[in-house]
Amino acid sequence: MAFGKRGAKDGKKKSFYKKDYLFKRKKYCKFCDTGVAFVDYKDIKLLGGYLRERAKIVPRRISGTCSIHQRQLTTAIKRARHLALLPFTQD
Amino acid sequence: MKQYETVIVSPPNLGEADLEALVTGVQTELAERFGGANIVVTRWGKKTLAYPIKKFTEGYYVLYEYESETEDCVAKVEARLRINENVMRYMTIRRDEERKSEARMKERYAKRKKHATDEGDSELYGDDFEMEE
Repeated sequence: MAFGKRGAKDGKKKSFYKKDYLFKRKKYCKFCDTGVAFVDYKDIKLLGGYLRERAKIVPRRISGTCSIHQRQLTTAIKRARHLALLPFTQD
Repeated sequence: MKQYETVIVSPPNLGEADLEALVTGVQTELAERFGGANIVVTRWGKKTLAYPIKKFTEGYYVLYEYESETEDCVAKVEARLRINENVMRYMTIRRDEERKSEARMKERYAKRKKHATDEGDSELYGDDFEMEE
């Protein structure tokens, strides 16, 4: 492959994403990773992990959740809140 | 045939008999008057509420899963629950649409998995092996 040779010439690993001073862990959707097909409002343990200290929903840019799952997650959390399974706010 | 799920939350201070009457009452009404079929009742039991409702900090949760063909089944059930004093909260959701999307997602996962195995991991890691030599 053409891309492989660039690194091979220098004799050390060189990647666009992996610079020592700029290392950032790539975020990924945990639901996609474990293969969740539907986020259920009854699974409070799971949903609770996506609430912040003040019981706000963690944004996608922080959690890395994909858009499909974030949408499912949001409705699930809102449903759970209505049934008082999850809080609206926390002080 | 549409599938539904209804959760009701009742106060914790109900007596055994009252609670039983409520749970089975809703079930029989659902089956006999509102055209519900394949009713599955799951009792979650007493749970602490995330916030107080009517000054109660606990609630008794019951889940009904059922199917119905009649259009206004849910409307009728909810109308009954609304006037019931022993129901603090209720929520009905339609499950069949979600089951469809669930199936779609599963298909997607299967496709992705197949894609990954077809391409092989050698493509991903092949370059690294070359460099280490």
